[in-house]
Amino acid sequence: MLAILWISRSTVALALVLGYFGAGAAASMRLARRGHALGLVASAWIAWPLLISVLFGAAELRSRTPIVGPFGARISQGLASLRASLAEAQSESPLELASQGQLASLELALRQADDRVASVDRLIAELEATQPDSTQPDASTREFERSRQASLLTLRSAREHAADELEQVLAMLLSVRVQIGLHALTSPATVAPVRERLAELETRVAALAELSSFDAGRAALPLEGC
Amino acid sequence: MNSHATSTSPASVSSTSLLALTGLLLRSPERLVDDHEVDLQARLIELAPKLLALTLIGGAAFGVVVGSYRGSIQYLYAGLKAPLLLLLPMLVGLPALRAFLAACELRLSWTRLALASLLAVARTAVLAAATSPVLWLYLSVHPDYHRAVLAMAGTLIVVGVPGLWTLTASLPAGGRNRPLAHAAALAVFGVLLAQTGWLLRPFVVRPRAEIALFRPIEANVFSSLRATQQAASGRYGWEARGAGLLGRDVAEPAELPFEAVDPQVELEPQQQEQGVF
Repeated sequence: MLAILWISRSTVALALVLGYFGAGAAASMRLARRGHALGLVASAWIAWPLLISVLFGAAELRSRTPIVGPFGARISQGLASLRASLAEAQSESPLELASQGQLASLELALRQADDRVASVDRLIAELEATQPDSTQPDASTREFERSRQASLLTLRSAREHAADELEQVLAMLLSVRVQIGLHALTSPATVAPVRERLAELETRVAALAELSSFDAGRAALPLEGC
Repeated sequence: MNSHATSTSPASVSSTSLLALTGLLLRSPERLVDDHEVDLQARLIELAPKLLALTLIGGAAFGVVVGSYRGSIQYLYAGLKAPLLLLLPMLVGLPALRAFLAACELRLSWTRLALASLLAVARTAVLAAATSPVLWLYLSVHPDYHRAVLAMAGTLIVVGVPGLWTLTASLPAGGRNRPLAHAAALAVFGVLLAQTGWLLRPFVVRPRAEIALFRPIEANVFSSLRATQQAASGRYGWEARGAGLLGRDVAEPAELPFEAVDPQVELEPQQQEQGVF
């Protein structure tokens, strides 16, 4: 009976070891798929608990195609300033105001919104370049021109709306920095106002994508029927 | 004079060799974490493989020296197990450390904690490798089994203190009752280190004893310490009591893991010599 008990406990130990290295193998595969170096992939197999933040952090932007839209430079500048303010605040107080994951998600959402505006800009430019043949103004040409103008109007309106939202979010970035500055000046132990402002910013950025899809749905482009 | 003056800038640490990183690790490891201009996650990605490599190399060197007490295949076994002895307590105890610090109102990102603990373990391993020649010299004069075990434990304590200090120094300042969190963490890591050593034993094998990669899983380090205490007071014999998921309920006398408990099996000097080097 004791021997059976001993074997079963050894089996449990073996299962624990295998489970650990199995989880390590899964972690390695995940990192390999993300394009990390072999050294990190091998490290994850041995010591994956130490790399949890890398494993489950926001997807890395560097592995994606860089998104540069009309707001690209301002987004970069705004985020760099925000990161600098956070780092400065972190040196004053040990309390973490925003995690790297939060900032990465924020950047990704902003870049995607910028990318959508850039896509609309490209579409507008294409439509503007598509001029109907004015020498033969028949019925179909007139219909095409009417649709083109309507599409341009809708696209410009949607673009303006998306750009306004993005502008507001960028302005909010500045207000978050102001809040961080106030936090450093007043009470380093109280981080609630800054975190609330950051949460507000995250909600606003998340709404950017929803607004874009709503606008796209509402503005069924007249040209689609042509 | 700036004590942090170094030729290796932390910002350019990604391109440094293992040797240069070792120098930085011994001089001012906290600089690798405290640089605000660098994204900590990027730094963890850069440094984790190198720090783990240093831990494996340093730990293996220390293990080989400990294994030299018995010689033969124990060189390899101890060399393989010693890095685990350093790594496992940190891997298991890290959530507890984070919880203690959070209880003291010090919120830490997992990235920072992981980087700080990797630095601490790597520094401990490097220091263990650095002290290995002294230990090797001592083991080469054929001390008895208990003295050899004490020498190994003492060396680990000597190199473990700077390691723990590195962990503390790599964490941000602030929080309330911080010393309490450190004391609790020290207790947890101490227990984890002792139990890990127990699970991975034997490291120091008697010259006459049979070599095994692992001993059977039974009881825990505390029951062994109690047995040692009883042996010191003249009561010999050790009964392994079940403890936790992996503990065996009762050990049979024939399978007692500590020959050392019975003074009758103490080895003659000529018997000890056969396994050393």
